[in-house]
Amino acid sequence: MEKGYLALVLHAHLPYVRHPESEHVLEERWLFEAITETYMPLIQMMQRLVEDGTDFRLTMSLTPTLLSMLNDPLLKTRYLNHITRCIELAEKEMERTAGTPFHRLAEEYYHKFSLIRDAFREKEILQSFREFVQLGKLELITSAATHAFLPFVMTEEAIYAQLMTAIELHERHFNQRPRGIWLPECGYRPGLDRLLKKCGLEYFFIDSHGLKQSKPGPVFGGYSPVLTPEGIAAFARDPGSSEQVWSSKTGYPGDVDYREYYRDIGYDLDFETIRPFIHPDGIRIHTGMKYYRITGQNEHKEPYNPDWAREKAALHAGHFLDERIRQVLEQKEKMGRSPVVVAPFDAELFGHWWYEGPMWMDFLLRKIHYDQDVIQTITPSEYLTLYSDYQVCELGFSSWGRGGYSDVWLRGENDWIYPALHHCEQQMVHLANKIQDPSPAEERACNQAARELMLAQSSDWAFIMDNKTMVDYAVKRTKHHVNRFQRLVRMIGHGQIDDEWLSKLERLNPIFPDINYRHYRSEHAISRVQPSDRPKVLMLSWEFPPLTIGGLSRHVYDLSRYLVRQGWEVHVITTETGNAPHTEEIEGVHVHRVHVLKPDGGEFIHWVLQLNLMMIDACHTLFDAGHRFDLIHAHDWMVTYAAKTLKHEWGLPLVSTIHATEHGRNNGIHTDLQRKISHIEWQLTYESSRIILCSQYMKREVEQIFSLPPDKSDVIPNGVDPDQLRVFREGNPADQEPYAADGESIILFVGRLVREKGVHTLIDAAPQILAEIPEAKFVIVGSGPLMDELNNKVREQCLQEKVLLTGFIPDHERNRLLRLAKVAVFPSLYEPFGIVALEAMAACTPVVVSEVGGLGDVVDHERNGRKMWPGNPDSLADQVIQTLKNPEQAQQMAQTALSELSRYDWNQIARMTIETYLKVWKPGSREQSIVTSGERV
Amino acid sequence: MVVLKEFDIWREVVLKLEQGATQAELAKQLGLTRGQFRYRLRKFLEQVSAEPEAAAAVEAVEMVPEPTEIFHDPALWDESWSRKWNRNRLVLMVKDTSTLFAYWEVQEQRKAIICEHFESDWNELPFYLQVYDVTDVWFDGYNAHSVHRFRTHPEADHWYIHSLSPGRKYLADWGTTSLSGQFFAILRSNVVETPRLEQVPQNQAPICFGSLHSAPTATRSAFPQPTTPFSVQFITDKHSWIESFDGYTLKEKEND
Repeated sequence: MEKGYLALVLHAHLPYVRHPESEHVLEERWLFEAITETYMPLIQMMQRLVEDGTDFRLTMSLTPTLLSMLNDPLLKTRYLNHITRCIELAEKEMERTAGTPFHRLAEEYYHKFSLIRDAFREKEILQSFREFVQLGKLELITSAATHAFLPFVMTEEAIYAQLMTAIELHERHFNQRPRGIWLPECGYRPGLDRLLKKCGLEYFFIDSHGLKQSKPGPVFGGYSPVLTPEGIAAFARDPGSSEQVWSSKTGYPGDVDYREYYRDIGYDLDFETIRPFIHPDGIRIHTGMKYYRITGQNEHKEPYNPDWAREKAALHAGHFLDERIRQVLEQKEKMGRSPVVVAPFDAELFGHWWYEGPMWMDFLLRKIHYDQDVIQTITPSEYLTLYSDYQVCELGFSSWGRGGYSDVWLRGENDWIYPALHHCEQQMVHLANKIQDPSPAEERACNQAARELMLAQSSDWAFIMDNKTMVDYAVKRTKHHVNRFQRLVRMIGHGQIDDEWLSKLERLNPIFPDINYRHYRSEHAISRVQPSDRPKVLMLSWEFPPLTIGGLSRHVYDLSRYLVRQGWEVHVITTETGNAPHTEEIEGVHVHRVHVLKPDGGEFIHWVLQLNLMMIDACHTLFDAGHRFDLIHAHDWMVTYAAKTLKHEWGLPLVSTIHATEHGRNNGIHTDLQRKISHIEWQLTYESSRIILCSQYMKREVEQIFSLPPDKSDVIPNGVDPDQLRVFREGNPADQEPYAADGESIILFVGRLVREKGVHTLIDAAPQILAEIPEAKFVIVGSGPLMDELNNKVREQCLQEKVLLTGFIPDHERNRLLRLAKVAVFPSLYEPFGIVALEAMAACTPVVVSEVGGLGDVVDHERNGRKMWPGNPDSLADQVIQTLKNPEQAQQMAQTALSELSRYDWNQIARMTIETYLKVWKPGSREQSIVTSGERV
Repeated sequence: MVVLKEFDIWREVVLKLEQGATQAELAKQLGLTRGQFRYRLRKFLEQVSAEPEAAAAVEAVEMVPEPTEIFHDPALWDESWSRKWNRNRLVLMVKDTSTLFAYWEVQEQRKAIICEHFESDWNELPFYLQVYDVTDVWFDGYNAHSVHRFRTHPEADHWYIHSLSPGRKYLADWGTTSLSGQFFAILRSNVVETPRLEQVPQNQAPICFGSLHSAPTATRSAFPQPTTPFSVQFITDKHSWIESFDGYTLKEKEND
């Protein structure tokens, strides 16, 4: 019984070279030479073995490009013409060499060519392969559709398309799915196994170092396949067998008795004699007729002697076999399993480069069959049935190219192709996701685009550019395919497919007749938005719940959901926060939270730039998904860059709400940063078609600071959620713990602890108030940068017993306090609106507010509350004392305030906002945006 | 005699077809239309059907689908080339165990915003390629094991990064710096892993066997989770400015 196995694997591949536009493209000869010198001799070899009853196993990868060419009527015809010319040349050579030592060789060529022509006519090459498969002698596997170097294909979709197109073509020709694949150039990278599994493939090949560096190391060395984490088998090339056959220096092919490849009569004969058989432009070429043997290192060559070469081939086959037997015996002992030696080669080495290769293999297979019983040939599929389990290893990136990785395909000569190739594949994926229901013309165009992309991806072009021969051809091919692809994408995008041009292209590159562009679709279907009749606004706000830093977040949240209730579709673009999802729908509002890239320059102002860049990207993604907006609504300066950019890109009207100004916040502009922010604010007002401001006060301020024409802005007060306000009127007031003791009167402040809110005015007024109202208790709710300073102030004035700074407290506690308070004080120095005063009113609590900004608009002195002079402790104390000393009057004012709150009902505010929208929403602006932006693919 | 002569002519025609001559050429030489030519060729082949070689050649020639002229359309042979595709991207590719290749592009739109923000001409801004070792790191922009920084020309669009370590995961940013010298990322790349150079010692990972198409779960969980290049941490974690943030702008330090 045999102790081990040899898996001979021949990788047969040629790039797709087919030029119906010209009869004389030299590169087509690659195929013709390979048919004559490699594919037909290998078929003849297998035929002989079968006829003689010699059992053998061989594995061949026939790449989809080669398969397509072998099956192509034009190329078959041209091959017949080609081989006929070879026969003619051989005939002429027989005459010319009569009486010389070369006559016999010429005669042999004549017979060889004639036999090949007969065999070629008699039976399709592919039919011969099919028969060997049926006999169980040959296992055929596939490769990537156009031999793309898969580690450099960027998207999984494009890799999947390469694999599936290959598998389907293979199935079409051989009526069975391939079980294995030859990864082009043995290029593997982690994660590829998942796609191989998805395509139903069972095994692939890697180079030996790829296995050596696996994790963990292979316990059986290279003598057993290992499984990737996805359960796909990887067979590693045996370095020993490769070296002996591959190397032109130390390997068999360099033997002195073998035929010298570089002495071809196409170069050796005088020009006039050879002229009819070379390129019409007089370019000398290999004719396939070579009369010399390698002889030695120097230029001097002796005539080829077929008998000597034959003897050497037999000798080398014997040597090869002995080495394998030695390996197998040694490993069998160690492994406790039958080892498999994997010997993969480029098929074209046999016959084309190494003329005696097929003969050597013939000898080898016969010797294995007849002369020993240690080794048997085996296919990978057969080997995988021998054992039920194999070691599982993680494999890293490797290839069988020079250096073992990607040095060949990534260097100065060819690195320029990848930006284009990667862009094209992403376009193709986009197209496949987008074109769901193609017209017949679109279907053809998409399929041809897939063909052109795949052809551009052939690893051969980068390889040739590295190899530095025929570079022009490879460069041109890359450019042609990429440019044809681009033209197709443009045609599809514009909906104008030039049928005549497309059909020319289909006839030029009719590879993969059953190609299906849908293989480029993403695994997770990208949802395409159906156009709706609802008006659609894009809302830009740097904060949105749950991210709440200022009042903006709540405002945008309420405005958005009330716009939705009024029939608008609202998309909010905002900042990501905590674990909040990047995309979600809240009460009908579509929220898109963007991740902000870091490093971001380390300062808030630069972070804002980064936020805007990310927002623009997010909006482009929405556009790509089919969203079309009627207008953009921006909130405050933080989103200016995005608002301005998208407005111009999409040709949409822009509405902005200015909630506050840098000038107002800082009581003037004092620093460069403030100047920059103020400038950005101005820019937002300048770019906007309409500005929304929350109070008359803000309108005056903005008009003054930014020289805004009065008719460009609308005053719409900030809204208050009626549901939110209802909370303040329900349930019983609870006790005052832990904020105040029974009998104490709470004087409440709610707000961020920043200068502009004027808390310090309240603390300054505390002694005066306490003098009149000893039971007063000041409760200050909120946090902020002034916390420490305020605490110190309280300590200095020995008010610890009477003033409580609570820091941040939850909403329900805050609401409870609003109801408990005897008076709520809002002593702001600057307050564009002051929504919290409305909340106090909703709780039916009397208010004292500064005569400033929006607060001034809200309170009518002594009708629905009391006003004080901003920053004036005396005035504050006076008003608070008045309120507390006249509880009945205060309660009446609070009732009045409560009854008027419907002015701030969000339903009303949303309606007013829509009125502003309708002032600028041009009918058809949505269509406009489609036209001006074109198709983003 | 006449018949014989006719026979020779057509025999020669068949030979010429075999050698690659087109029917159109031969028809012209004989002063026949293509239709006449085909008809008489077919008649001849019926006579000599005993001779399969000639018949095969003619059949093969008949399969030639197109005249070459239809492909002489310049729109099929465009050899122009573009390095710019109007997109924002930075892509890393692995060349070998210690070398990566990066290529990038910034959209004009993004360039314009950056120029406006930094109040500078694009060509006056400093640009850098920063390569981070993010092996086993949930990268947040600041916590890489190591950072390599290369100054690049504003119009440069690719770079080879040499002397990196084998078996490490890398990520790159291309960006500029603020006036205070802090890096601002404009583009971020994919994560790539340089191939391991050394053999992994047998004891470093458990040896484990599985069957085809179903690797054991134990191994799968041992497979390292891909490092996500993107942090989901919110800004509050990393920014000194957040403490002095009052909601809409920055409270600047007193000495500003």
